[in-house]
Amino acid sequence: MAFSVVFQTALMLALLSWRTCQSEVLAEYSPLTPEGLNISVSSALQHLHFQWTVHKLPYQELQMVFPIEISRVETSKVIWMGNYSTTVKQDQVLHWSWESELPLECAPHFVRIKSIVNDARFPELSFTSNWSSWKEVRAPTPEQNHWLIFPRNKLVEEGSNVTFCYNSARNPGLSCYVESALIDGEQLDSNLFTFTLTNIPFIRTQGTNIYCGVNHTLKDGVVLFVSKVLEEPKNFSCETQDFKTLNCTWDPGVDTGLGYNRQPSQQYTLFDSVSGKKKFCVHNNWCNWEISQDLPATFNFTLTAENYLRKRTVSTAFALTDRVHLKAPESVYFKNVSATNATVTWKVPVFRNYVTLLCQIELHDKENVRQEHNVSIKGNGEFLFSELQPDTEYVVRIRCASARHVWKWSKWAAATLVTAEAAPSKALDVWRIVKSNEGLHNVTLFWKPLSKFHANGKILFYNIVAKNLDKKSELKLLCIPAPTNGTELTLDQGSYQIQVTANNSVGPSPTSEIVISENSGNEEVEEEKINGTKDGFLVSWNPRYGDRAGHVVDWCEHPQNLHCDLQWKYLGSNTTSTVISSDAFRPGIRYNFGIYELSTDKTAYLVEKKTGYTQELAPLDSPQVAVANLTPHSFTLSWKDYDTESQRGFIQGYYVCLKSNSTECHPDSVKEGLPAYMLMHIILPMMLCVLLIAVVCYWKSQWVKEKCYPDIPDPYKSSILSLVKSKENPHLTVMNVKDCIPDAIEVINKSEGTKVQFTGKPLTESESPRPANLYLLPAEDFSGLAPCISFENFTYNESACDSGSCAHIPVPTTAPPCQLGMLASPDNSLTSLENTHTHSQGEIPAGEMNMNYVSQLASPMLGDKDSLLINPPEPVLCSEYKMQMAVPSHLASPVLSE
Amino acid sequence: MDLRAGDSWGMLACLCTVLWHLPAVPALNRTGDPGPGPSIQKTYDLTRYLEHQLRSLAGTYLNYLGPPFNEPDFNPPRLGAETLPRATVNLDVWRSLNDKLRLTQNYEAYSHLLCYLRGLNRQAATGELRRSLAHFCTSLQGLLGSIAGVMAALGYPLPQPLPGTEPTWAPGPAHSDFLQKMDDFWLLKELQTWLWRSAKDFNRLKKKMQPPAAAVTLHLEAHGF
Repeated sequence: MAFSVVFQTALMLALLSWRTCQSEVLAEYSPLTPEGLNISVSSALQHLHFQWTVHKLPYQELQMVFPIEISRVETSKVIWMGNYSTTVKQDQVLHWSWESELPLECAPHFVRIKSIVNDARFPELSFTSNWSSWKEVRAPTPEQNHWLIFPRNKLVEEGSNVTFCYNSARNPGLSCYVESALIDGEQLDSNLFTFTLTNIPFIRTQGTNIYCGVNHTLKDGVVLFVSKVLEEPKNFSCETQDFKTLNCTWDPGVDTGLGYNRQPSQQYTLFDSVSGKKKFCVHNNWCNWEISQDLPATFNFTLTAENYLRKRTVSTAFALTDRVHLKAPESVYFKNVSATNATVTWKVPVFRNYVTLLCQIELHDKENVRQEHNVSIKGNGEFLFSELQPDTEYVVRIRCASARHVWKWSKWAAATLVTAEAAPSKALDVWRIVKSNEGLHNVTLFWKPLSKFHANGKILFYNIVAKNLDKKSELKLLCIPAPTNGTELTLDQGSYQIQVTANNSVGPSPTSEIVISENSGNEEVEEEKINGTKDGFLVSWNPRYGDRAGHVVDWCEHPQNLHCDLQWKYLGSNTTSTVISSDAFRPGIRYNFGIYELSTDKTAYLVEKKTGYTQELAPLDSPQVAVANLTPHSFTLSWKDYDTESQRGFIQGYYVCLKSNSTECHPDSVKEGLPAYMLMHIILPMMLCVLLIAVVCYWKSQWVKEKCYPDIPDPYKSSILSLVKSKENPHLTVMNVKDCIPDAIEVINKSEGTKVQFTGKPLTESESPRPANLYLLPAEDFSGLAPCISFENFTYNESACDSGSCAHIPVPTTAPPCQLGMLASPDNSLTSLENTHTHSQGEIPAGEMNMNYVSQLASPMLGDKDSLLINPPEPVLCSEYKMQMAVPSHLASPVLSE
Repeated sequence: MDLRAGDSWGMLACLCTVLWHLPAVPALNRTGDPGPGPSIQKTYDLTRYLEHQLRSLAGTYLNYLGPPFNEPDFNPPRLGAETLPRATVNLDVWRSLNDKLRLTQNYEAYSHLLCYLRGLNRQAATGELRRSLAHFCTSLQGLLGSIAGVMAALGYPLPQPLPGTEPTWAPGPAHSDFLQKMDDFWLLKELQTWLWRSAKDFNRLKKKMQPPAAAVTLHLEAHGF
């Protein structure tokens, strides 16, 4: 134990002795302590810059470490400790910087430094110097008396953090605001407060206001300038139009400029690493670069965007020929322009003509692109267009690019090309109408104008040559100026060959040829009816002559007009039918079609004629009927035939109805051309009724005979009426009334078609007109006989019978159908009667008869509505008038209407 | 008629009296020169128009500066704006101003304010604000010319700027941007006050040129913007 104590004591003494010895050695190297420590302040950057030296280095250079301590407010409050290692040379001034998060103006800072030799080459020099004395640093504040907040006018990027401090030593109760928002500061010292703004947003170019005051009295304020973050330039590219200048463009992104000149907008610099040249760009989104002609045409550009806070760069490398965006071609001209060919020439404004260019050429007409070509050129371009259309306006467009690499096409250059005229390329489509008159042929020629495609220029005139085929020497020449499309020729009865050509400024068209034979215009061909539809007419024919070149169908599109607008259609030799359709076809208009066969020598022979309607309509007018030869037993009706042109449908027959106004009307209605089915339709039910009555009568014959019809003569045994058709005139009908003595005849002419025309309403099947009836009023003695005569267009007769106003069916017994209709519905008679008279009173259609023949023996009740109702079996419409005097209908009607 | 010597003297005295009073007869006192009246009226109208125009411009500009400058009760110390011509004046002093001094003060004030305003325009960051300021500067230049016209009509010389006193607008790097904003604020505020005062000045002048002049009261207050 004693030994250990003694040993420890001895060891301590030895160590003390060694330490003392070492201190003596170090004292010899004390000059290595940092000397001349100088500290400068950068308020804007909040940097402290240290500068010192180490004197009397034993070697040229020495690896050393400098521990540094920084205190704030007072030396005891060390806020930062660190080492700075470096190689120190003889008499070298050492530099080091430290950045403070707190503005240096906020509080004094204290700094001290020492050195440690730490060089493995000189282990004997390893030692640590003493600390230098504390060095106080205060940031300069020229207006210290007024400034309370720091930092002043700081510039930061959006999203940064900034620490502020304010001193309330002179202003107790000082409170601070950021853009009107009160800030709670952290007390750093008795009068020193700090606060930190984090992730600062950009508010305005004029900066964010931070200010302090006491009781709303402003004491001090600062502006924190917040810059937007500089963005990398986008879409950076360069191109040349002329091989002299490169135009570089980019999208600059946001402008980072700030107000009060705190930061201008970012600047852009272009640097080419190939040539080593640099250019400051004036504009913020483009820059021009002069191309040096003696350098290889390759570039490696770096674009740098820069503001006070940041730099951004983008690069692009390329060969000049890969970035060619030429200007639009110039001087586009045409030469050697003919009707079908033209040569276009152009120039491309480039500096270096040795560059091969690719050019696209387009040829447009008014509708489409007709030709597209790609050509390679050097310098000036030239291209030959062929297969052009004569007398046509084209637009030629040209654009070019570098043939090596199509970076961008130039803009189009365009020019208008008009080709020359050429002779018309197609013969005229010619047709004719031939009319023979007093030994002459009146030939009317028609031709269709050539389309622009075939005219090849403006047609100036038409040449017509008529050659007499019998007398070869005889020629007729005509020159018809355009735009006439027809002419008339008067030729003798011989055969003529007529040639027609269209002529423009270059020459004539191929010849059109037709031949007029001696017989032309005299052909007698029976006309055949055809049924058209709204879609047109199906025209068919039978071939006549074996050796034929073709067929022609002609027709007038407006047959009612003076200018009938002749149309024709050429058809093949084997064609036997065609559909003729036209928008001009209208219902109720008759169209006539002529079918011609063309012989091989161009002679046209009329072979068939067709006529028809697209839709038949009811006649507008009824025939004007005249009564003549009136005797006690007969009279004669006559009327004129319809004019063919004014027919709105084919007239198939005329309807004559004779009826009486007595209850026992005899079936004396007579009808021409009545369809059989109509007769059967009505007669069969009548026959059954008669048979039934006959059986009953036979069964009760004696009783019935005594009570009902003791002396009724048999009407079938009398030949009251007989209809004799005139052989001389098919439209003249003679009626003999043997046993009745009429003293008046009333002709009532009704035309529903006219009414329809007045109202302007188109005719439909349901509204088809009733037949026009002519009523014969017998004398009183023959009141039982009610002859009723009417005219009917059979196309529309069904609805006429449906009306019940008049029956016209010859029924052998009992009442005629028109009476039956009245019995069935007496109100109808009144209505019909009233309608008839009202009509005659108010509106008198042109087609109605103007004169009424009335009997003096007529019963007054016929004009009395009440009587009509009491005695229902009255004739209808056939016996309204009983005064024997001729009066206009409008004078007679008021009496009846009462 | 026989005239005596005493009668002749009486007639001469009467004639002299008439001639003496001729200038006072309004119908005979008309000349082709309308005088400064219309110019004063036009100047007055122009001040009212500028006052209206400035109200819109100041609103925009103070919003551009941000809070607290656009707050209604903001009233900072003048600090850097001491060089701006003050419009506020004691009422008695204002009443005692003669026409020449009144017009001279107006002319000098707007000369300085126009110069400051052009500096304000140079540092505006937005194009729209620059256009508005430039338009207002043109109008203010018109007012200056109008005042000069009134002074010339009244026979007053224009004040000559003293050498070296031309105001400049050159904020140095050490200058606080916050103080700069306060100067801008004061410039607009002082301009507004001057336009109010000028309206009163020219109204007073207008009435003075059309006797009898109505009583004029000057009420100058530093209203917030």
